[in-house]
Formats: sequence, C-alpha cells, structure tokens
Amino acid sequence: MPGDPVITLLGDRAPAEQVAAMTKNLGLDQPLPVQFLAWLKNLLHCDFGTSISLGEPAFSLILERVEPTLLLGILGTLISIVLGIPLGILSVRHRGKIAEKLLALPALVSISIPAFWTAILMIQLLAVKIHLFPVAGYHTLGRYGLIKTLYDLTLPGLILGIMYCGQIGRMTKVSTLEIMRQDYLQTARAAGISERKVIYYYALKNSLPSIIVVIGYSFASMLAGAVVIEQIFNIPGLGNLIITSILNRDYPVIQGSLIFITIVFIVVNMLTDILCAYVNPKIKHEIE
Amino acid sequence: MYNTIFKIRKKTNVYILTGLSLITIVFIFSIFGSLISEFDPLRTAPAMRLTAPGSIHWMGTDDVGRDIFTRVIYGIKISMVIGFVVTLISGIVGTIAGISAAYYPVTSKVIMRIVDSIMAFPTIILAIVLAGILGAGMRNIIIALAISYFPMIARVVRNATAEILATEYIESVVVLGKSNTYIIFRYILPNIASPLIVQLTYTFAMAILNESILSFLGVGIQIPTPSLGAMVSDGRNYINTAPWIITFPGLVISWIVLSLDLMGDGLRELLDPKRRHSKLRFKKMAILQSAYKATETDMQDLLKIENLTVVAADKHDTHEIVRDVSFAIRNGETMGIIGESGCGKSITAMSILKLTEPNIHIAKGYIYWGDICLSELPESRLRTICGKEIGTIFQEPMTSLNPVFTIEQQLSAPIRLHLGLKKADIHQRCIRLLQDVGIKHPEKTLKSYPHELSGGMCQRVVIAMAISCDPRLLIADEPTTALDVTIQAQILGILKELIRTNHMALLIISHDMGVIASLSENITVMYGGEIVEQDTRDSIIERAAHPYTEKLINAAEELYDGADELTIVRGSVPRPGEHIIGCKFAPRCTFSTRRCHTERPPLIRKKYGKGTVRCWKYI
Repeated sequence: MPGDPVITLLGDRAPAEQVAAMTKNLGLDQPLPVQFLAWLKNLLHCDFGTSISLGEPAFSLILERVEPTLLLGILGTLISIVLGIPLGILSVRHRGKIAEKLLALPALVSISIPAFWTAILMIQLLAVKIHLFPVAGYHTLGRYGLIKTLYDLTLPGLILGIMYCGQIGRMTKVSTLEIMRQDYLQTARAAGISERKVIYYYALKNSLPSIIVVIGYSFASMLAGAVVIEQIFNIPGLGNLIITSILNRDYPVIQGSLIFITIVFIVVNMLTDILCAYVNPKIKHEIE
Repeated sequence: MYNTIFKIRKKTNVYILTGLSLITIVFIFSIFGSLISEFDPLRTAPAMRLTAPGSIHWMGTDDVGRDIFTRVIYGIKISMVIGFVVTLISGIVGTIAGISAAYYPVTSKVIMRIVDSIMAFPTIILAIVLAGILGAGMRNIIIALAISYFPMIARVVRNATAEILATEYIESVVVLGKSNTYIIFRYILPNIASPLIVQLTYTFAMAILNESILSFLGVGIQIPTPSLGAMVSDGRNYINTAPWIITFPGLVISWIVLSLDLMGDGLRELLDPKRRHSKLRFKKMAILQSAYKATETDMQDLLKIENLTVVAADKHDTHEIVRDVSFAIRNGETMGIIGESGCGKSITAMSILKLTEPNIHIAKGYIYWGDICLSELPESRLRTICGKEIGTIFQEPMTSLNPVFTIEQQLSAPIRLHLGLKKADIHQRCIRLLQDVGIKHPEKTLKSYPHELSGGMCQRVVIAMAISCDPRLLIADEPTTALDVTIQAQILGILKELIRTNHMALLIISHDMGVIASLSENITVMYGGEIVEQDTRDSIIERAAHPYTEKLINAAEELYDGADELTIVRGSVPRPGEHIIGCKFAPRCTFSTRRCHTERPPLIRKKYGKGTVRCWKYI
C-alpha cells in the first residue's frame, strides 16, 4: 500500500508482526468508516488524534506552530496591501496611457516569478552578502519580544507581500475602473471635486469591498505561500509542519492542519463580510 | 458574439504578441537545445562537478557534474507536458462539471458543493497534500494539480453557461425543442469559449509554477529526473560557489510563467468586453477653424457656445456627434434644448463642464463663461467653476448619488470646498437646502444613505447639491425623465420656484416638449447633432417653423390631451457617423423634396422675429 505510515515509520524491512502490532495499536486495522467516525468523535473534543511520528497530540503540535505562520501571514498581507493598492490606483489614474501598461508589469511579475527562487536569491543578496536580515530561523514572540520576532519575519514577509501584491493591485485596478464609469462620480465632478479626490476617496470607497475580499482571500492563500517560505527560512511554522507530516505520512497532523486552515479560511471570510458591510452600507442593507 | 475566438486574428494585442513570442522562444530553445546537446541529463561526471558556465557546459554543471543546460531543456519539457496535461484534464472535467451544474439543478448543488469545498483550501496546500498522499511522480502530480484546478474552471464555466441560458434567445431555442446536446455544442460551447480560454491559459501558467513548487519541496518530480523546481532546490547549498545551478532553472520558470500570464492578460483584455475600457483620448484634434470669426463676447451673456462641434473617437475613426451648435444664455435666462434621444443635446450640455465620456471631446468651437473660455481651460481650473458657479442635475437620481456616503457627507462636500464655511454653518445650510427642495425631515434625510431614499427624494437631494453654492447657472439634463409623472410635476415645480427665487439661469435638456415649455423662455431644437430651430418659447409653440419641431409639439399635445391615436414621428434619428448628404431629417419628413435629400440646408434667420431655422422650406 503506497503511503502507509507504519511502513514509513518502521522502514521497508520491518518484520511483519511488528508492522501488524503497530497497525493495531494505531487503530489502522479497523475499517475506514469506523476509523473516520472515531476521528470525527474525537474532533468534537478538540482531539485531532496523536501524531504518528512524534507521538504528541496533533492539536498541541499544530497550536505550537501557529504563531509564526499567522504573524507571517499578517505581515505579508500588510505589505501586499501597502504595495498593491497604490499600484492599482496609480494605473487607474494613468489609464489609457503607456504608464498603465508599465504599471501592469510589477503585478504580472509578482504573480509569475516563483517565490522560492526569489527568496533564495534575496537571502543571498540581503542576508548573506550585506547582513541586512537574518539568513533563517525564528525567535518566538513570547520569549524574545516583538522586535526580534519581526526582524526574523521581515524578509520572508516582504517576499510573501511581493508575491501577493499583484493580485491585490489587479483587483484594485479592475474594480475601481468599473466604478469610474458610475454616474455618481460625475455628480462629484460636477460639484467641483478634484479628480484626485474623486479617485482616491469617492471611487475607492466604492471599490473597497471587492478589494477587501481579495485581501481576505490572499491572506488565506498566504498560509499556503508560507509553506514554501517557511521551508526556505527554516521557520518552525504550520507550513513546515505540513511538509514534515506529509513526508512522514503523519495523517492525524495533516488532517488537523487542513482543518485548522479551513477554520482560518472561514473566519477570514466572515471578517471580510463584516468589513464589507461596514464599508458599504448598501451591502448591509441587502444582507438584512 | 458567436465567433469571438476568431476575432483574435483580426485584432492585435501587445500582451498576447509579447507572451506568444516569449513562449515561442522557449519552444525553439528547448527543441534546438535537445538537438544540439551532447550530454545525458542523468549521467553524473564527478570530475566535472561545479564547473562554471563555459564553452562546453553552457550553463555550467551541478554538484555531481551533470550538464545544467541539458537538464534545463529536459526540465522545460517536463514542465510543459505537466502544464499541458493538467490544463487538458482540468479543462475537460471542469467544463463538463460546469455545464452540467448550470444545466441540471439537481447535479448543480452536488457539483458546486464539491467545487466549493475544494476551493476552500488554498491550491498550493491542496496540491501539496494530494501529491504527498498519492506519492511523488509525474502521474500523481498531474492528478493532484488537476484536482486542484478543475473547480476554478468549473465555476467559470458554470457562471458563463448560466448567463447564456438566461438569455431570451436560448429560451426560445429551448422552446423550439432542440436537444440539449445540440444546444450545448451549437450555442453554449462557442459562447463560453472566451472565458474558458482565458482561464485555461492561467491554469497552464499556474500548473507549471506549482509543479516547480511541489518539486522544490520534494513532493513533486523525484530526483534524479530533471525538474526545474527540484534543480533550484538542489542548487541551494551551492549558491555561494556555483550560483549558476539555481539561476538558470529559476530564470526559465519565471520566463515560461510570465509569458503565459502575459498571454492570459492579453486574451482577457481582448475577449472579455466587461474588462475592456474605453481608451482615453485627450489628444486634441487639430482645430479646424471654420470661417466663423469669434465675435466680441456680449458682456451680458453668462454662457455662450460658439460653433461647438463634438466628436466621438473609437479605435478606428472619429465621427461628429454635435455639429456647429451655437447659443447663448444671459443672466437669469432659461434655455431648453429639445430633441429625441441621440440628438446630441446631452452631449452639448455635458461638454460645457467636460463631463462627457473620455472618448468624446470638443473638436471645434468655443464655450465661454463670461469672458473665461471654458473649452480651453485645464480640467483642474474647470473644477473650481463646477459646483460653485454652475450646478448640474443628472438624469438618473438613483445612480447620481454615491452609495457609500450619507446624504450629509455628499451635500456638504461642495459647500465645504467652495464656500469654506464652518462645520455648524455647513450643517445649517444643508438643512435649509433640503427644505428648499421640499424635503420634510431634513435632519433624518441627512443621516440616510441613498438606498434608503426614493427616486424622487434622491433627485431632490441632487438638486439641493446642484444649488448648494448658489450657482448662477443650473444645467438640468433630463431631470425628470426617470421619475413617475406625479413626482415629475413636483420636481418641475421645485425647479421653477428655485430659479425664480435664486435668480439662476437654467439650461434644461429634455425630450418632452411639456417639460421644456413649462420651464424655458427660449428653446433650441436639435436633430442629428444639429440645431434645426431656435426661438422664444411662444414663437416655437405658436408658429413652429421646422417640420421636426411641429412633430414634437403635436406628439406632446396628444400625449397630454390623452388622444386615442398618437401621431408617431416615423423612423428614428440617424446614428452617429451615419452619412447623410442632405437635411438629416429629410428621410422622416413629410415635406421633403429632392433638394432636401441632396443638399444640407443652412441655419437661416426667420422672416419674423429673432429665431433661426434650418429648412429648405424657408429659403
């Protein structure tokens, strides 16, 4: 059977009785539906099962690893917002000109170039050659304080931010361009509001809900991007845990991590909905 | 609509061309490379390890002496094959799932539930987990990536299909009893082709990018098979001594993905009409001055338009939509412009403050505001006159107000900007303005958002905004067209009262002679972008000279009298760009003679009074 955790754990040449004993011990001899039901029952008690390779409860393993990943995700999101929204707005201001095409390039590059490659190159350049950032590693928030933690996360956060700023920039551009055609901007112009204010204030507030949705989405996918980045920067986060568990076929941990990511995804979705309703009262009105 | 795919050939697009040429270079590179290369991508040569790029090893060798160039060539092939197969499989599965979800409501729920739950996971994680569980190797990566991508395609296809199924055209085909297979192949597939092609191009790019990520993480293509991602991973430890190991594979991945994304962007721009936005054309056309010489501006004139010609430009050519229009409005005077939709009356009014669509601009003529030439003024200076000296009311009250700001925020903006009042004063002024336009609970209304108000209320707010800084001229572009008849009467009453008490001049645009006659002392009748008659209201109503004016008056009278049969003005206004040699109204005119069809009539002074008319009858 491919991907058997027992074989992975004990090695190919383990004696058959040892394999059988371990399989029974882990409850893997039961039929799949039984295994699944038992797992579901435990889930209700926040019990994701026990890690096969580390012997610790999967839930606490995951909890330990959440901090760097969440911080990295938040930092990356902030950076991608700071880079992405101005990028989108600028290309709206310069629509139809050469500048619009030029401004599309950074977004395109950020989406297309593999982050693992740029990460390695940037470590070499900014950490190894000029010692601006640490090469790798992570100091936990609780023990070492915010400054030290942020110092570790700046370069990985920057790479994540660059990786996702293209999406946010594009959404900002597309949704604001859509808004630029609306009648109420004509009303604002006719009232003498300057074009700058029309775009930055009157149009942007209307396109903000779509941008917020993309930001929420990219925060969730940054947890995925973190898998790669954590591996390169040797950060003991959730992504790192997922890769290790996959290589060890540690199913309880994999399942637990996926459930955790799903929960994050749902929470983020809820938050974006609330935020959108706050920004645009019409959405709130439609929900009610 | 049905042959969007073929339009690719007709138009050129910078993104597509660049992307296509970049990807062609990769293809040529990999084909010629594999022909030229003398090395085996797998054979190690410890003696040659970590050789720098040179004449023998063009891209150097790696830590076990394998030729990087040859490995990159193989890596490209593997990436391309994976990208292609993943796109093909997820494309087919996604299309089938998407169409059946749109077609059969029962399957729809099941399919979309599956699609949604797969999409709840970030694609990379899903692919990593699937590839990890299935085990490494090319086949499993393809399966993992295809599972990760088909939901996105299914969703695009479902939405596009649902949109097409909802059209009346397809509904009628269904009624005709055509089989589902026929409908799918004849109507659905050709129409979802555009969004599908765009999505597939992106899928191709993402598949290649994510394959490299999987291989980099060690859950993808297994060593020693050359894969671009795995090569980067291998080269990490030697980045100081042999940077070429990681540089070249990384460059090639970026190159491939970038060119595919470029193509995707180009295709999207080309195929998706929603995302296509009109190009700004501020380029001033060479001003071809007519024989007309600018007369000394009559100081009494508040607004004076001289020989205004407005053109609309699209990609191919420009055509005149307003031609040689002149009129003047004095202080406190009221002028109405009447004509059917498409006669250029709104364009004329919107040109005054340069509020036309970006592709429409003034080609000839001048617009004077007192002694300021508005048509020559830069936009930023123009905005200081907008709202302060000239107020504007638009046609659609419901869309004229910004949905995300309260009425107070919107109403106070021009007051704060132009009058610089204190906060409390601004609030007081807002309340007074709302009272002036007949709103009973101004405090409550100020706190509301536009969606909480009715159309009539919104239009009152828009009027309040337009008069908030006591402008000297009010431009009202079809201010009552979108409203019910009873509300129309109220709004007209308010406008009438306002211009009387505030001594404002008014420029009102309408297709309704009743509206125009009740508000304006002078009337300009426009047809096909030209003025056909201009006179005082009384002369127009009593002695309409132009046949078109006469028809408009008859239509209005019959409408208001509730006649059983309406005298319909047959035909329709000429389209912009439609070439008519003679009088533009001739095709619809009951009096037209041969001359009307061959020669354009000039605007001449009427025999009696001050009015002008453009008709051969009077020459």
